Amino acid sequence: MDQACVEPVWLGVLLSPVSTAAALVVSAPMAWLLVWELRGWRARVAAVVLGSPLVLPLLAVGLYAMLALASGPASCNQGGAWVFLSVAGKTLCAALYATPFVAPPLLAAFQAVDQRVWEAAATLRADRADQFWSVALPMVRPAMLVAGGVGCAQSVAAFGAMALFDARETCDGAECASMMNAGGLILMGSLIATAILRLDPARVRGGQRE
Amino acid sequence: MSQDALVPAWEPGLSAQLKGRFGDFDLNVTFDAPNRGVTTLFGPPGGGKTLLLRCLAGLERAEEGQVQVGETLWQDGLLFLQPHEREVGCVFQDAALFPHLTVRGNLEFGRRRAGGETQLDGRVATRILGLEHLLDQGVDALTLSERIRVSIARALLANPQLLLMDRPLAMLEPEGRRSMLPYLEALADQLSIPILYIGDDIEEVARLADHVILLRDGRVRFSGQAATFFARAETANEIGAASESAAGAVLEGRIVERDPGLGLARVAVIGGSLWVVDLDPSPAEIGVGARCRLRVPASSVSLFLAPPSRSSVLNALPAKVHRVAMVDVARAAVELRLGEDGRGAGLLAHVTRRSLEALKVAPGRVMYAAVKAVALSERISGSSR
Repeated sequence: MDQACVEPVWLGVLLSPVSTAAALVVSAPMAWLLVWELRGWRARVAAVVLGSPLVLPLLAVGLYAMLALASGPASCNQGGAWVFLSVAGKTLCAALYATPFVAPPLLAAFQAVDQRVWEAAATLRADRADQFWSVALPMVRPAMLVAGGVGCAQSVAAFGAMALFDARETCDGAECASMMNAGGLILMGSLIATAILRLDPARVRGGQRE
Repeated sequence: MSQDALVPAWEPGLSAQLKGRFGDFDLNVTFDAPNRGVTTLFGPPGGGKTLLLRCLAGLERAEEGQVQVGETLWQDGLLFLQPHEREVGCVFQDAALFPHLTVRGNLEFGRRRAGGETQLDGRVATRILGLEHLLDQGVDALTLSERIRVSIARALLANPQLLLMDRPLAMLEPEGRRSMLPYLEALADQLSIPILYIGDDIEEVARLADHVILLRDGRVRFSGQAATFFARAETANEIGAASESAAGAVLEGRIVERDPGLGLARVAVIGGSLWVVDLDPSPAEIGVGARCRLRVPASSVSLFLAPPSRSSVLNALPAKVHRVAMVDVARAAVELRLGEDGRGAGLLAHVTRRSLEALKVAPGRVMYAAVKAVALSERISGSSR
């Protein structure tokens, strides 16, 4: 494989864990807050927003995020509609793209834990934040793994998609073809991986029940 | 609420006054509970017992009310402490252990956060509850009764000023339940905090309760000593127990004599003494002097006008009729006080209306209460109340 092909692969492999970690850091407290702070219709709206990746075309979220970021000064505009993002920008985009996939399994896992466990923790002097760190996170560890896996696959897909756009705008001929090939392959592979990971709902339910 | 004249004074450890609507349930209670010993919340299902406990723990909020534990105010018009701000210990029916921690991790959870000196040393608590050999196990491997013991120890090590137990034994088989009672009795002896206990099983409650609060439809219908509660004629009806076996007095006493050869022991109670079945095989000297508690079912008490001679009854004690109340058309419950002067412990007898009329049973009359064999409950040796 030539150089143009290796770069997006390298980027995807190296940076998707970073963006996944970022997605997890945002999603876990968000899901925890959703469990406690939202009741009634607000909870339903939140669930729809979080579930949107299942409804919206898969690329929509990341695409809009990329457009939004590209219009800023951090982007390097070379006159075309599509621009390359800096590496940091790409990572952020991938994280944004993965977040909606990471949060629902965590939310489901928090909700699956018996309410009594939180009550027991509360009556043992643990406030909400303490419960999050010392009970919720350790208890949903299996769901974290699944969420991380889905998030990672989605990040790689985002990197692949960005490589496709990059290739279209910046190069031509054989280089472009091989870069698009690489991007396309990454995209497809990771989408399949996501599909497989999401197939098994038992693994998404993290918290062991009593 | 009824007042008992002969109640020894006790210090209230918990004073609560709670009023609020929860869905279509209306809770409106006012009560005090003593600062030591087990106070049982009793009453028919749906009477608000669990809700009351949750309000005391801060897990539910009654709109109006005042909760004071010891010298500390937990709730009043302006103040509402969150559960984690209350020095409370909760034991739930299903133990609710943390599955990601070992037994030790579970026990340490509350202790680390509570800080300070615990009333019960960790080692004492684990010994009383028989947990020493389990400390490094995961909680998934535990039996149900072990899980419950861990959850009790976990609650106690957080140094609570109020212990709330919601049917801790409900999920155990009758055998397991009986084996847990000595642990609970031993704990109740050691602690000097109010313990509120919901139990549905009358035997269990009779053994543990020092004080009873009867809750029905969100109201307190009785609050007083357990002995008084169980010696009342209305009790069986009030607790919604259909079976006749539910009615029966509970007597506090002391073992004064043992005869392992015959399998009997004599227990002195206020106003008399009773022979009871005692199957403990240990030598006759052991156990004498220990305090114990007897439950005498109303159906095992018969009334005579004169001391019965040559009958199979083990005990015939003079007793004064205190009150008579009809249970249904055919039967009456007779409240008795032991001793010819009627100043002894309370006893409850179920007799037919026909006998009632034939013997002219009426308040003030001295009769002989024949008590068939009742069993001495097993206790952890050496513990005394």
